[in-house]
Amino acid sequence: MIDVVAAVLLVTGSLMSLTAAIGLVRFPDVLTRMHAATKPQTVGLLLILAGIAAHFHTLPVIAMVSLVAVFQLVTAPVAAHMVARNAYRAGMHDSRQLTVDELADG
Amino acid sequence: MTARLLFTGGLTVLWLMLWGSVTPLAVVGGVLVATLAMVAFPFPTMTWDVTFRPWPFVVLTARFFADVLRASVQVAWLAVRPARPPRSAIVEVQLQTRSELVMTQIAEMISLVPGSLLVETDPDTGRLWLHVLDGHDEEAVAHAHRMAAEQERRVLRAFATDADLAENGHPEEAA
Repeated sequence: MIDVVAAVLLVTGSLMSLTAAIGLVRFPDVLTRMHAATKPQTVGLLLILAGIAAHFHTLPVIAMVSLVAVFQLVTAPVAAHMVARNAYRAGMHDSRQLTVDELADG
Repeated sequence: MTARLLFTGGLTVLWLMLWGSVTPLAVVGGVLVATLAMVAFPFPTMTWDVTFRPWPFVVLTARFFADVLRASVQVAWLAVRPARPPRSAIVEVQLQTRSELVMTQIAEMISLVPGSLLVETDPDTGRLWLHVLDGHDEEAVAHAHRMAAEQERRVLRAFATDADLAENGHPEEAA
């Protein structure tokens, strides 16, 4: 039973990460790609970690995957923000893609 | 001083989690590494202007994980659906709080919840600029504004000091 749960978590997590990769290729510019690189990627990893924890369910493994999960949640938005900010400042975004740009107007 | 002891303790626990075992050697090593890290990388002086409220924190966390899941499914769908991705927008959000810690918290969480990604900040005036993935019409842009405001309110309820809450027009929460 627990192996079924673990398998489902691992496969769902992998599919989520796959959509992140597809988004990276298909989205039109740096800013939109960062969405793909943060959200489905983070959840994909969290699901895979949950699958690993469910499969092994020993304390050291759970401790380790919890650390990975926490640091992923803390660092992914910061990394995405840094990339997005620098891309915007360097003018590497596609402004025709935008309906409103309140940063340029302000 | 208490804060430094707390951080050293926390770092030691982190070290033990990484080792995956609690042996005397690992504990001594952990304390040593933690102390070294605290000495080598001292925290910048900042005001620790946070009040922790347990129940609003639970609400914030639960809502956050639900939002992260929803955001991922949304972005995943936009990535794989046959049509082109929608046009996006960059919107300005005026935060109520001036606490840098609370602002950081809000900014981090906003980047993981549906639709938005932090592009630029101005801590002095408390403004954030968010990139909204689906900003194809005015309603989508207005929705991003509302979402950011709600996110801020949840974070404020969980962490802001009573003074900060009262100042920002939520005195009922400050009791």
